[in-house]
Amino acid sequence: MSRAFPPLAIPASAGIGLRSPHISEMLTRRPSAGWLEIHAENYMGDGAGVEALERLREIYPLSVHGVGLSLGSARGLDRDHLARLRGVCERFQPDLVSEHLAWSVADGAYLNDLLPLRYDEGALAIVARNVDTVQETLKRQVLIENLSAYVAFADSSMNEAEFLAELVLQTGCGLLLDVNNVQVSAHNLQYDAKAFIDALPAGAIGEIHLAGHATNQVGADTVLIDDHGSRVPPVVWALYQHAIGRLGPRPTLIEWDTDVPVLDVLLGEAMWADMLTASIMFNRKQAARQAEAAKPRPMPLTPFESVRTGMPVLAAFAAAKAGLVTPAALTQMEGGYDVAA
Amino acid sequence: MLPLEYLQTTMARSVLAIEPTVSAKMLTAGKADPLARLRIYQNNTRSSLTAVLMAVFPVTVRLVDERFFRYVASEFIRRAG
Repeated sequence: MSRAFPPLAIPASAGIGLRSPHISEMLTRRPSAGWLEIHAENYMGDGAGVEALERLREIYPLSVHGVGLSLGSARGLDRDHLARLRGVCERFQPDLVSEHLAWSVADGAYLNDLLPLRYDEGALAIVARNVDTVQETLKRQVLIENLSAYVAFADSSMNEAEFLAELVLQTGCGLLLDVNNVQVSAHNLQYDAKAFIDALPAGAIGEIHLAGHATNQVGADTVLIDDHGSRVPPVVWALYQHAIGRLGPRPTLIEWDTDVPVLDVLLGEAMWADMLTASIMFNRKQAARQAEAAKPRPMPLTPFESVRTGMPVLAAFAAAKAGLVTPAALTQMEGGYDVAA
Repeated sequence: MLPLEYLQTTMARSVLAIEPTVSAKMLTAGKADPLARLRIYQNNTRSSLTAVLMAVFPVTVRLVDERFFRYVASEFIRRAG
């Protein structure tokens, strides 16, 4: 029997990935963080971590992120793993649930890594069927995340963005845009990162991931490794700026998985994401105001309508200052006084 | 065209470093050598599965020494695949 939690909605602002070294500090300090995301696989059993998460779930909106479902496996889903994922969702009642466009299981082996698909109609039919199964089992929409990759398949008939767009159409799933993964894959496989983001259906993107990556030099090859082991680098912030410019604010997660720093570093990165988003939206509003001000105005119908200020009464002052009050009305009034006198 | 399941089986065996490995012609990697990039998946898989085994058998790690455990673990992962 699962307990009832308050239905906390994930806001369109930054949250952090909950990592085990930070759990006790989160419980005692209860720092300001928009929301939390957990890896589903870490909470499929029982134990102290699960109890701690139940307490945190009372305070913070929660997202459940699966890493082991292998949605791209041609053999279909592991029903036992899916049942465990359903158990986690029933227990913690998260506001968002997500998984990856990848496969980890084949030939009876679990590779504990996320491998890319060959993007073609055959793979699309398999992934769409698997996503349908997940959404029917969990009785909710899931978000599917783009992958960081080091190789691609030569005979793919579409690119990953086209594949994801088609998956959204066929299954009604949402998307999790991992901006760091876009940068890593675009560099490693030599394509345009911004064009990838622009090719995704904007309305379907329900969450964004931000993280750091490592840069390795192997002979002549500079390869970006998706290790989630450092601060978000400038190139990923720039791509995030591009994404927010196109999408508007979205729930944005700071992910950190190797060499996890103190909690305040994660909270600081989340703060920067919020500030960058606020700054983009402020600049957009300013630009819209300036464009509005530059437009030629039609003749005012009534004296006060053309004057725009924050307080209605100030419009009257401003109109008066500009001499918009009709002289005819004043004359009539003055005339009235004359009669009375 | 290979069906997806056959492709994934071939890739999984390549990632676990079991012969025969996937053909370089099936992969692309920008300007880089695809088989060199495949080694990233091999390393990721071996190190993450080894870490799981070390977490499950901490006493054995101390008894036989971590370096020997890592060697045995990588042999086990290769053969178990």
